[in-house]
Amino acid sequence: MKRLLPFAVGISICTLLVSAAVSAESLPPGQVDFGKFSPPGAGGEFVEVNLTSSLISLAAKFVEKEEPDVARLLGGLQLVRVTVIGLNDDNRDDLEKRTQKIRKELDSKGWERIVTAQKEDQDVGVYLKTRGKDTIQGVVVTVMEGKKQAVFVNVVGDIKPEQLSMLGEKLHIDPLKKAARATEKPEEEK
Amino acid sequence: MDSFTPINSGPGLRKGHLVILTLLLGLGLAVVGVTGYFRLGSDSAALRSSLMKSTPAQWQKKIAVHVGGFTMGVVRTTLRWVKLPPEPRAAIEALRTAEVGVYTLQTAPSSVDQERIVAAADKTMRARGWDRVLGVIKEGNLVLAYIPRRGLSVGSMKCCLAVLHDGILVVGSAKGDLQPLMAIAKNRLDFCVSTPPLAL
Repeated sequence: MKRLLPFAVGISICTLLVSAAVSAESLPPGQVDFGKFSPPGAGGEFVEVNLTSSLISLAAKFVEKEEPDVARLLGGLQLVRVTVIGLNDDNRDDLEKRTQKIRKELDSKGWERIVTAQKEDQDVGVYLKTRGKDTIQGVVVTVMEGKKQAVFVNVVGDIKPEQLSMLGEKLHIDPLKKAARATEKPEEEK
Repeated sequence: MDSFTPINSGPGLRKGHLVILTLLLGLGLAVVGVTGYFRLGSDSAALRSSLMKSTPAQWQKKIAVHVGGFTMGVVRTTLRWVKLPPEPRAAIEALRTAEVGVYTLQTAPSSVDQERIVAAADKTMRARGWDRVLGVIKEGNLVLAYIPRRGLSVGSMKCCLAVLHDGILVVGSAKGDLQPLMAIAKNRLDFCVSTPPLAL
C-alpha cells in the first residue's frame, strides 16, 4: 500500500498537468487569455463585453439581407471580447505591467504586430494572428489611455485581411480601422 | 374466502368524488397559477440568490412579477383585434415570457463588494449553462447580462439581467421570438449608430 501511494500521487499530478495543458491548448489559435480583470475600487469604471458565436450569428442573421458583407464578416467570427478598465492610482502600474506582459507574450507566440503607437499619453498596440497570407485568426488591440482607461480587445474567427477595416468600423475599434487603412494603402499604390 | 370483495360504491358517490377531486385540482392549479405571477423562474431566482448571498447586507423584496407563456399567448390573441402601431405589436408578438423582481438594500450601498457580486453571479450562472455577455460597473452601479450557452436562435432568444443602482436590485429575464422584431428592424432601423459605444 505504501509503495502505491507515491505512484498514485505521481499519476494525479501528471493528470492535472496534462489537463491544464489541454485546456490551455483548446483555445482557438486567435484567442488570447488576458487573465482576470478586477473592477477598480472607489467607483471606477469597468466594462466587459463578451460576445460568443451564438450571439454573433444572431446578429449576422439580422443584417444578412441589408448588409451581406457585414453578415459574412460576422459569420466568420467566434468571439469578441472587450474589456475597458478605468485607471486610478491603485491599478495603473499593475495594468501597465500587464499590458507589457501581454504584448511580450503575443510577440513570442508568433503574433504579428501591425501597430505600435505612442502619442502623448496614449499607447496603442494592434496584433494579428494569421494563417497563411489570406486568413486572420485573431486580432488583439491593447490601449493604455493615459490616466483615463485601459482597453483590451480580442476578436477571434476567420477574417479576411480586406475585412479588417470593416471589422474596426462595425465594432468601433478606431485603432483597428486606422491600422487596416494603413495596411491597405501600399496595395492600392501598386 | 374471496379476498377480492367488491366495494359497494354507487355511481353517485363516484361522481361526487370526481367532482371534489376536480375542484381540488382546479383550486390547486389556480393557487399555483396565481402565485406563479409573483414568483421568479429558477434562473432569475438563482441569479438573485447569488447576488444577495454575496453581500452581507439584508434585502427587502418590493415586487416580483412573472408573466408566462399562457398569459402572453392570451395577450397576443386579444391584441389581434386591437389596432396598434407596428412597433409595440412586434414587441408583444416577440415576447414569450418575462419576469422581473425588485429588491432594496437595507444597508448603505457602499457595503456592497461589486467584484464579489460579479464573481458569485458568474459562478452560479455558468453552472446553469449561462454565459455573461455584459458586465458594467460604473459609479457604484452594476449591470450584468447573461445568455444561455446553447439553444439560442432567432426563434428562441433568452436573456437574464441584473441591475444594481443606488441600493435597488432589479433582476429579470425574458424569452422571445426575435422574428417579429427583425421584420420591423429590417423595415425601419438604420444600422448606422450615431454615437459609437466603444470609440477607442
